[in-house]
Amino acid sequence: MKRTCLAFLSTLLAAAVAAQSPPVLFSTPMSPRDANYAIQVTLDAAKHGLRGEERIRWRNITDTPATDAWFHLYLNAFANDHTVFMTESGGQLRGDAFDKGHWGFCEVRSIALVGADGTRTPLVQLFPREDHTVMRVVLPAPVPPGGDAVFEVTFEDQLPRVFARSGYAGTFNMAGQWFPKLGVFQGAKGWNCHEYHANTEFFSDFGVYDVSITVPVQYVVGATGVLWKEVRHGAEKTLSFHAEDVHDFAWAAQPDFVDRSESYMGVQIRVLMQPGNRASIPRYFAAVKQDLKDYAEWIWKYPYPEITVVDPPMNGMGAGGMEYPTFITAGASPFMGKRILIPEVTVVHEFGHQYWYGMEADNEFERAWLDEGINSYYEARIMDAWYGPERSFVDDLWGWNLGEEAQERMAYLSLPDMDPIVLDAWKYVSQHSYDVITYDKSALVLKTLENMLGRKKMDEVMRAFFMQVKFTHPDTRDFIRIVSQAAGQDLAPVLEPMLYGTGTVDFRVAQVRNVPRSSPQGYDLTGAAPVLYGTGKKKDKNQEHGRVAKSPFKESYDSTVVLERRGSLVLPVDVAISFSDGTTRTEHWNGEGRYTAWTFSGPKVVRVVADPKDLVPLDLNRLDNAWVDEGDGAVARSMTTRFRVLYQSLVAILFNVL
Amino acid sequence: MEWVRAIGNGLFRGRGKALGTLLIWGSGFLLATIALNPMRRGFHSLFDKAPASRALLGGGGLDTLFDTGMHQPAFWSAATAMLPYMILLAVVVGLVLMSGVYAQAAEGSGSWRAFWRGAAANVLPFTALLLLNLLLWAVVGLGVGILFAAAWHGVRDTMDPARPWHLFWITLWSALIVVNLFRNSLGFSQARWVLTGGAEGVARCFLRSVAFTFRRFVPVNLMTWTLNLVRAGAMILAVFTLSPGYGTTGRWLATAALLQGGFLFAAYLRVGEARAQVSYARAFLEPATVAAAPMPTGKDEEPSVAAAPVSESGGMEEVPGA
Ligand SMILES: [Zn+2]
Repeated sequence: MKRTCLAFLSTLLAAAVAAQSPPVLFSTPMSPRDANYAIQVTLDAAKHGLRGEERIRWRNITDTPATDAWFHLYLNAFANDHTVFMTESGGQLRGDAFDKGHWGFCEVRSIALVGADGTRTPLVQLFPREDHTVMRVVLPAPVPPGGDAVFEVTFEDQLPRVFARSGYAGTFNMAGQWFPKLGVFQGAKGWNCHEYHANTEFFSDFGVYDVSITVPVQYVVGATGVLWKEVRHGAEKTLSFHAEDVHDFAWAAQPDFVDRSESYMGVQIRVLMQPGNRASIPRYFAAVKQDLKDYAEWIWKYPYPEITVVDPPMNGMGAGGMEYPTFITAGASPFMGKRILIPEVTVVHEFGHQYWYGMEADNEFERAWLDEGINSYYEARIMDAWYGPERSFVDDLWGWNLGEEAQERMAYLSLPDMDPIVLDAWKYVSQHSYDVITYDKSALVLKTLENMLGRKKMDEVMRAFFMQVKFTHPDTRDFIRIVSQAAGQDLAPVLEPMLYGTGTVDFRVAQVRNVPRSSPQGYDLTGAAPVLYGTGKKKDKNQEHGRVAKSPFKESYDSTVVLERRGSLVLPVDVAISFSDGTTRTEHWNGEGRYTAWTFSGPKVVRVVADPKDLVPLDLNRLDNAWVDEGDGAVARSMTTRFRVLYQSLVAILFNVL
Repeated sequence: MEWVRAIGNGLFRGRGKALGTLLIWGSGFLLATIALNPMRRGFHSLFDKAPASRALLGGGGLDTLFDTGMHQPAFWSAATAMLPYMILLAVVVGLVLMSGVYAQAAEGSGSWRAFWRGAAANVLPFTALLLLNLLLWAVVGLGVGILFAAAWHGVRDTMDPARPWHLFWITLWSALIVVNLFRNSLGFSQARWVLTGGAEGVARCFLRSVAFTFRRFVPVNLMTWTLNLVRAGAMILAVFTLSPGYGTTGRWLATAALLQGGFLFAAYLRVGEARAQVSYARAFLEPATVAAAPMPTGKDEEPSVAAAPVSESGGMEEVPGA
């Protein structure tokens, strides 16, 4: 199966070269293909500049005529320190700082509308937004529904020093968001074309990309799509890439990439590695393979023939951990021991975006959780399946483990309630809040949903969502509607407060009371003849009334357990209550009201655990979820010993330098 | 190969090793125990009744630990409140103990009384020597730091992606070398002090020891780095054997015992290093200039080298050509 697929791909590419036209990857288009790009670009390796020409064929797939066209010029975010991006980020993003003086820009030299007869009408560039990351042109005549518009654009880019995703570092060049690119026309709502904000990612329509990249011959180039032609001319070479049913195109070039390929499940995996990170190549391959396998099983088989993984250099890490169609950037470092699974997690995450962003193309400006959140949920699922849930993030580092869910929960706990999940990305109170809510809280919400529905149902529900929205632009409402349908129950009451609200939940065992019940004394009239029960003590007043029977009742208790729900988020929870006779019963609380109470008569309650299976990861504090009669002190002892290592080492170090 | 002999002398020969080792280990244990006490009690009240915390036994459950950070920030500040006092106390205790260890190394005595006598006599000059050395090496460290800050700034624009990686290693080793130079220069000034009975005064002892450290740069560094290697080896061994965990009482006890064994070994190495420094410094001082021990010798002590009057003209100079 694998071999035949690859043989098919290479036959396809050979035929394409012979015919001097790009190959056809999918005989039936998977997407609407309403935004198609043919681009020729040349890299000025010394200046890290790009010169390009593009021909955009756009089709109006709405029922509203388009009177204008809006374009993103993303690189202009780095043109000066007064752009929206730079103002919002303060020159800091994802732990990376912008290097002022190494600005970047995307300048449109010319833009013209090409008529059906080939006539070119030059268009005037307008800048309707706060900065030059958005350009608008007024069309001489409206494009009717179903009609086409062809734009010819010449442009010049200066890559900034790597900061947010794009740029150069040494001889490494990362071209992401590098060409003038159409926004998304939404009919009566007009063009959806936001400025490049610090917190936002991207949104665009699907199409076919034919991109020819000219670089000095010694450069190794990785890009979206398949490489189908390579032509050398003097000191330069031109590489032609072709991609179908994608909505972006990115490429990276560096002379000394270590270039490795492997095939798996019919997909060509290409890794372009920094020479210093050679040792991590197998880790990248293993992560992509795990992804291909799990996604095929849980969602849909990866449809594209290739995936390229680019490893950015240490001084270009701002380009790492990023997704583009069939092309992702990761991040490894010789610092990173095998026990910290960041390279694996990064690849698993970025590959996951091929589904959540790549094919399920939500508006990342406005509803980022639909890709980052769902993707983070699957990142955890895949890492858990691979390494086990206890150690899917840190695998035994000096005796410590950290699972993905725990890692996501810790991030969530750091800022759980400043912003809702469904929010325009630039409106979050901070980058930190955006990260925590969009990635971590969203993933935990989906985990909560999984815990409510069960793994099997969850898989059906998520598969249904993906299959219904793939190659479209879904919204949160679509998500709630489709998962409700698939689950066979209205999930809106569960999901809406978590997605649209900022409420939190914290279950707490508020009270456990065991009141010993004395044995009954006096006459028992339930039998055929009255029986007198005494206290069992030597001096028993009952004895004055005659022969006293031994009370048949064992020692017993009247017990009360009070469980409290703090926070405004209502979620159901199970409670396991254990008794002194060794039995345990599980009670269920739908979470309504501020508290609930259970009373029992009989053996003593010795242990109460709310959410015993950890099904509510959103619970803000799990330490107060339980009550036990007697603890054995083992945890306190072991924790003290762990801290003793630190404290005593500190003293030892001091004694060593005195 | 005087430095090899010095290591041998320091680690394996002479009396007083056990006492110094036990005192250093015991003080460390005691200081940590006192500082950890509020945390230990807090852990009991936090974890004993919370089954969710049991994951911590297996090296997981970090998010549960994080819960305490989020909901009991007061706990962590209270639990770590003793830390600065512990550090301060450790500095004082360390100075006193090392004063005793160096004095014993010079005297070759293993007695309890001699240890404390030496400690009492040397602690003030040792403090002065520490401050002088700190001052000198902080300045050097700052200079090196500025140099590397500039280098890191430069490497941002490099055309060679491997260079930051190389620079990282160079930075790390440079920092380690500076730290070790500081340790050597301090160690040899302390050794010189006890060998000369402090006859030269603090300033001169300091300057001559710094000069000595540089003059005998290669053997002195070979000596320290050999000991560092043993130390690092032991540390790596400890880290990898410590991980089996804390699940049962037996495992916890084994782990704790192993841990204390490690600290005992570290204390032994520290004493050995001090003694090696004394042995090495002694080899390069004219026998006639080695002063009597700072204290009158007691009955239980070996007779010390006969005191000779220290000449004004730098009697502590090294034996030429040694
Ligand atoms: Zn992502």
